[in-house]
Amino acid sequence: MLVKSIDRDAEKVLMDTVDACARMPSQKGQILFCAFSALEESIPPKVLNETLKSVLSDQEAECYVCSDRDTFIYWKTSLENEHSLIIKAIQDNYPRAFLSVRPDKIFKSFNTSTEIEDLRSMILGKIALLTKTTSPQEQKQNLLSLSPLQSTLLKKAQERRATRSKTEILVVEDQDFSRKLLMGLMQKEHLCYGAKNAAEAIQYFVEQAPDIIFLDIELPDHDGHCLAKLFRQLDTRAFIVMVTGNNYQKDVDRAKENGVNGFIAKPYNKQSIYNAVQSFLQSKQGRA
Amino acid sequence: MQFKVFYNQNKEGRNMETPVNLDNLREMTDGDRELEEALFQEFFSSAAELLSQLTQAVQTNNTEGWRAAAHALKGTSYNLGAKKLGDYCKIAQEQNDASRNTKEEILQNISSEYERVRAYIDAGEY
Repeated sequence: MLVKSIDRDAEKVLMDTVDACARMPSQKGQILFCAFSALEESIPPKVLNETLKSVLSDQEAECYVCSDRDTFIYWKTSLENEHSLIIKAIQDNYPRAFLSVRPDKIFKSFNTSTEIEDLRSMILGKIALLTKTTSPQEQKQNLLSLSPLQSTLLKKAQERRATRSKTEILVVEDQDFSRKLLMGLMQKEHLCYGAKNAAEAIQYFVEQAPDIIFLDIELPDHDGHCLAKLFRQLDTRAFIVMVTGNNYQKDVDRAKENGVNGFIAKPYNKQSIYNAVQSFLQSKQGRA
Repeated sequence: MQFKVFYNQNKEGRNMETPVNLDNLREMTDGDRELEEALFQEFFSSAAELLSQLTQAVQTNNTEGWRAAAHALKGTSYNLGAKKLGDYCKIAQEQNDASRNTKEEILQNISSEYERVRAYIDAGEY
């Protein structure tokens, strides 16, 4: 596996990448993936230099730097060794999230540490530019736009769901205590995933296609109602239950408008949660 | 598609004098003491963080920060069974635009009630 870990310790990611590159047979179109986080200021220059040198040692390498977890999953599950397809997926779907460094244009001029440092500056500059051009509002909006890659992942997960026997539940709740409480109850009988924000929720949604989603309305990075609307649009079979500490009629109305299946006001209560699950099981039986 | 509001049938508690009614939590955990302990620790950790956010929000006049922290602590408190604490947080959430003095008073109530909750759980007399 080319990439062993993401978004963890930057130095480890880089060193793993170097190791992986060293093991790869030299061939045209060879790809290097490494995590975006590895290029942040926290990385010791020495480590970065070592990495770049390892890339430079193979003049036929192409270097892609990415931060997107989906691509790693795509790589791992679907397209391992099909480099050209991965490159296409990157170019088509993640123009903002990727930098490409082409050996014929840049690598050959890398002979001194100053030049390597220049490249580092260039990469960091490009990251800053990418960050700058995306306002929080845009980021929020982008979150709800599934890429073709994510759509593919979701489709595959939905296909898997059709054949699985165990009910899979996603609990989306930013407060650790409340999320763990609900998961503690659900995990006894079902496979349960926990997400503490909208970004994580979307990730689980596309990767697992959960049967039931307990979705908190107030999330740190997005509004739960918008998320519910997205989930409903993308998956008519998901059983979505809004959960909230605000027992407002406007929230109930909005939940209805979004076509979700249910609404629970906190505090969580075993019976109301079980009733929701039971309601899902009945609807599933009705469909069969 | 059928839409349903799943109503809670929460117990009001046998002893309303105590700061926490753990009946609901017990039902959720099926009396699993280990899980309960872990949840208590989670609660203390979250609450301490949220109290600090509330304090900071008052000092910096951050109304959204105040509202969000109050909302979060409200949900967590109700889920624990700390109704009074949750009610104070609800007031805080609703008094989002209140003066600094009012907010400090509310925060004082929240902090005192949190201490009662903490002492009650720490004493293990539930």
